[in-house]
Amino acid sequence: MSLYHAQQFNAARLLQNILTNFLIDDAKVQSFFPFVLETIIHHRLLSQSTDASTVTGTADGSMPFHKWCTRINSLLHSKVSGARWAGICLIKVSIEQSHDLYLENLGSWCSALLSLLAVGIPNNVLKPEPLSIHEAAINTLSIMFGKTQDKSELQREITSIHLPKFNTSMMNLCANRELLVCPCAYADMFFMITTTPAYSPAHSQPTIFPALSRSVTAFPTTFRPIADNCKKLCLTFLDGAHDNNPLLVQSATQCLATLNHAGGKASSAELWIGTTNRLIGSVHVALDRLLDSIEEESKLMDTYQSFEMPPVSPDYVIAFPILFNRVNSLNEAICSMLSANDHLVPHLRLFSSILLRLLSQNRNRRSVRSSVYHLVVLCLEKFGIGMVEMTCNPLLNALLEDIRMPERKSAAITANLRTSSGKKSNKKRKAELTNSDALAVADTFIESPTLELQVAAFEVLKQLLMVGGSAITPSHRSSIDSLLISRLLLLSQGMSKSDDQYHLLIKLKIYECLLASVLAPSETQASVLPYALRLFSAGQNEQSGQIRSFCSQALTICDLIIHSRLPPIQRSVTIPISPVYVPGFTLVTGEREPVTEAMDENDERSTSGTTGAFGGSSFPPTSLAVSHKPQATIVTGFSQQVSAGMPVVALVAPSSSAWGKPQEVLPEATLASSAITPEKPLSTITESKSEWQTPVEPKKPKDDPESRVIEEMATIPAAQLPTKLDSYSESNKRMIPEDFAEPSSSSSRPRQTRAASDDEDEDFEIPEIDMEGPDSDVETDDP
Amino acid sequence: MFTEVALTTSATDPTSYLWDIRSGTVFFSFKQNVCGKGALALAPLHATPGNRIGLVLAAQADKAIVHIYSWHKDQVHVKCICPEKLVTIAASNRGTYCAGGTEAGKIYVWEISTGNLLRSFDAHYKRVSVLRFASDDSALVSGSEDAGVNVWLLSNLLDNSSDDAPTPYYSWSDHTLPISDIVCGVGSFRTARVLTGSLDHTCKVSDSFTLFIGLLCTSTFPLFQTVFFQKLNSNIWDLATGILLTTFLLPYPITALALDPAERTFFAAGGNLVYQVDLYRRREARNYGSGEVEAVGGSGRVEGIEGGDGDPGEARLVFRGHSAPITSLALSLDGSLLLSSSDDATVAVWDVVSRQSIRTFVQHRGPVSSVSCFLRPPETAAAGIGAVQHKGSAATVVVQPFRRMRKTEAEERDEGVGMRIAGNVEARASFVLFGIPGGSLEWFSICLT
Repeated sequence: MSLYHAQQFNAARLLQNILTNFLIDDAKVQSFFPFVLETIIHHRLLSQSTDASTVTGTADGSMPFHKWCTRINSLLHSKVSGARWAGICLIKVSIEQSHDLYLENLGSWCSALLSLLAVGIPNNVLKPEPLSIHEAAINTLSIMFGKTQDKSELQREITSIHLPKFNTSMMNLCANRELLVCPCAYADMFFMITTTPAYSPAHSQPTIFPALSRSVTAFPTTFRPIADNCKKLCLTFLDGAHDNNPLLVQSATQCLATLNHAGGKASSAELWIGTTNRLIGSVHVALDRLLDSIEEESKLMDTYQSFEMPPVSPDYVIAFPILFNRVNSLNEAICSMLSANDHLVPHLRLFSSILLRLLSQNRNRRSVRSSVYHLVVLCLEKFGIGMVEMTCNPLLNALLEDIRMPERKSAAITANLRTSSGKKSNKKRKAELTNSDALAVADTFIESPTLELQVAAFEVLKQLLMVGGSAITPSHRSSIDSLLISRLLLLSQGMSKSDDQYHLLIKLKIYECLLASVLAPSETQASVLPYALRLFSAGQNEQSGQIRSFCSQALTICDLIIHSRLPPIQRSVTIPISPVYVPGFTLVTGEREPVTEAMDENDERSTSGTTGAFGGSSFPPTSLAVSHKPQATIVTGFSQQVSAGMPVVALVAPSSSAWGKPQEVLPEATLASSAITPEKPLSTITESKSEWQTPVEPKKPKDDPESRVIEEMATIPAAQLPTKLDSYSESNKRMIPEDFAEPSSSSSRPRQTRAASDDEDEDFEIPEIDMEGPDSDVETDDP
Repeated sequence: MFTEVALTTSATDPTSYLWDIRSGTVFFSFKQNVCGKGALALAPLHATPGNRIGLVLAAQADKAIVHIYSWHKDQVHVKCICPEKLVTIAASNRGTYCAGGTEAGKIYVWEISTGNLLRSFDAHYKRVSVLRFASDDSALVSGSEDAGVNVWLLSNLLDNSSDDAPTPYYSWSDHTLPISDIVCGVGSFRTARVLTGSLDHTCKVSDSFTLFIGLLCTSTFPLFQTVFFQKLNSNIWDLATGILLTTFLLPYPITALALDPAERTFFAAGGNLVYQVDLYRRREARNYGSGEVEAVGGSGRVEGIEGGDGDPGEARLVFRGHSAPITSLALSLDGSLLLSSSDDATVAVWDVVSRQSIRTFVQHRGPVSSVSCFLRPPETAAAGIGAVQHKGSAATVVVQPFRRMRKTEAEERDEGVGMRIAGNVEARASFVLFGIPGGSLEWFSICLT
């Protein structure tokens, strides 16, 4: 006997066993049922073809399908409700697994199930059928009819006869509210049977609405007679008056959205437009009541027809919650009717202006803001570069505000002492808080936008980079990149807290953005690649598996960039870039003065600290050194490299070689660092930086780099990004490195010893980074 | 299971044929279709993803009419009377928009499902010779006999909030003779590369004609743009040079192009020959077993491609067999078969690897003007049981005759926004226009699939 036949034989025996041992007694069927069902599903017992059984020929080897069907039929007519229910479930399993069984028994099963549904009170039992039976029958019938969709013969014989009955009985059953929301999934039923025979609302899911939707979608013509009733039924759940189960509202709206199919080819669009129109009208009516105290400037709205909704009490205390609820449900219904596609391209400008207005108007409403962000992501996906072009800069400004570095309140104290910036929180603590207080509780004062908002903002950023990475101005790019890198580094340094869910999620999002930034480089910003590679390799050793798998995937992608498979086609030699870039830089230098002043006015801290020394070559584990400065310098370096006609891929090569051999570049690097002396003019710094040595800058006199590093850490959080949002216009951005470079001399010297000692004392008083902000503030205050 | 078919049209023979590229069997034909080179566009079915072609749009060569065909009948499905005679036509990859170019350099953009004229503008100084949509439908690339290539962002082009003439996002003017063909490479707007072919007059002395690969890689752009506009207040020509990747010089004027799906090689038709140009070449192996692969061109370099005649080394890369100039090229799905249509009234199927002609299609009674290759639409499958089964899924693309005038603002308000109703995937498509009067966002018209 072949293996196949052996299996066949076993399956037949198994099924026989099930029939004789577990399904034989009506009373016990229910308790055995989970096991039976599991066995059938696991072994796919019923999917053995009937043909094969005839081939084997032996009585034992053939599948006992006839017995099986007989048993199901007798179960259906059992007096025990549990057995009837089991019968229905067995039908469902049978038609799911075996096409032959389906074809053979469709007619008889259909009428049997319909009789269960229609009568409500079966022959011998005087109480109505339990919910679970109705619900299982509806599901099974729905699947049965759905399967006839592409079989014209079956449609003629079965569907056209039985489907109208099914539809009407469903509508009749709708009076039973529990059936609208009742358990449906098989797994749930298992659970129900095995644990609690009682109906558990926790596992409830709507049954009738999905079945109605399926019916109208597949057989619109048959559905037509009850379409109006069905629409009314859906609308009753949108009036806000019920203690609306959100699931129920959702399924009602979905059903409503499919009802236009009932119109058939000719008029379904009319139905759709009518429904949508009236939904909008209903929202208007509800809003008119809610906002009747507001004078409208113009009555521009044409009259909408609205659906009939139950009237609400004149007392607003009672009425308003209902109305709000109603508006909410109606909006959901409108949403379910709509779709976004590229027919909307002509109206893109309108969309983008609305979105941007929403963003700017709701600066402090995080939920509005984050949902606007979700919408922006959708638009970016749908409309691509066109959307980026219209919204890029204002959108980026909003984004940078929401994903700024975590800010410490204590930073605000010093700002408060120095200048009178307009922060409300400052006023509160101005008088009583001393610096030591600030130090002691600094941890609790970390302030950043909520998780929801940040995650949404990172999603937008990722999409923006992917879609229009190159349409973003280089200055914005460099601030984004440096923000991403410094946030990641900061997170990786915060030992104790980085484990919690919040940080993991944020971290993952930042990693995703970083990958997007690597993948969509603008001309000057492949510079993020070395950082990204470091961070991704570090991420591979992360505790969280999610981050680990993402990082290894990201590294694979980076590998394609650094070791490209095909030789790159070179580009951009016709316009040499180096002369192009340098004027750009000097141009900025020319504009420097006013910007610097502005920064000084706003916040002294922004100009302090960041000397730009960057512990480049190997990222010493404790150093968090990333600031605008190294970023900018690397940009220069890379752009020059590009200008030399290097292929895109080769962009990495110089940097990697630089990472590899820091020693060679050392003298120059020290030279560069020494160039950052107090009175050095800015241009000198930029020029020296624009050479290749800068990204490396490995070793400097012992305490000098570390202290600077620390200072940078101090300044990044508070000063760098969050406070300087408005200064993110192009010219200002370029300024930042220079600004940092210049005043560093004045403020950094006195602080060095202290900062350095902090570091060397192994977090003597302060847990590493977290305290850096306050620490530096203290320092500045001391004198 | 799947069959690849070619649709070939002629400028004099009114019958277009749909035939199997491997067997030569004719499956279907369209009547009364006389369209010239570049005047045929294929639009996909709305509801289906990918490359199931649902509509064939053909700008008629002799009159200002666009014929729209579907697979249900061989006669014209919809006849659109256009404001001017269109010489070239293109449909967006999602089948939403159709763009047509005229003799005078004007471009019209219609919404296929409503027939609304969304924009008409002067794009070139001379005849628009070719129109292409970028593969993500974010841009329209137009080539003209004024030797210019313009890239238009669709969002700018269709922006209904401004009535100003649109300005091209890029404008490439490196060619000096009429543009004959354009191919947009794979990928989004950010990464795609564009291949433009031209008959270039400047090289006439050397009897050479150039072919450009322009890089539509926007990544190079913003930098130049800002810098140049600030510093030099320069014209766009400077921008264009920044993105030109490679110029290929071929011995004949280029009339048609085809690009390998993986962009490893491209085919250029010049005269009676098709040249295969590899974008990567293996350098001579100096050591045993080590050949180096390098990219051809780049950095705006000029690469000369030697003609087949008398040069045995390069002759390997030429497909010969046609007796009259080639009008159009197409590649099969995997790029292993090349189809070329020619004025000698034949269409040849070539095996790319061996460069042998494996089949010649000779049913056309006049010069063949265009060839395109795609998977056989299920609608054209044999009648009988199959036809019954397909009844349920017999989808037609929603299409209305193109309008000759733009709508007035009031009409636009009344009509509103196109909306595709998701739902019964296999249902027949129908289309109705409706307006919800009133507010700014709440207008809809429906395109129901």
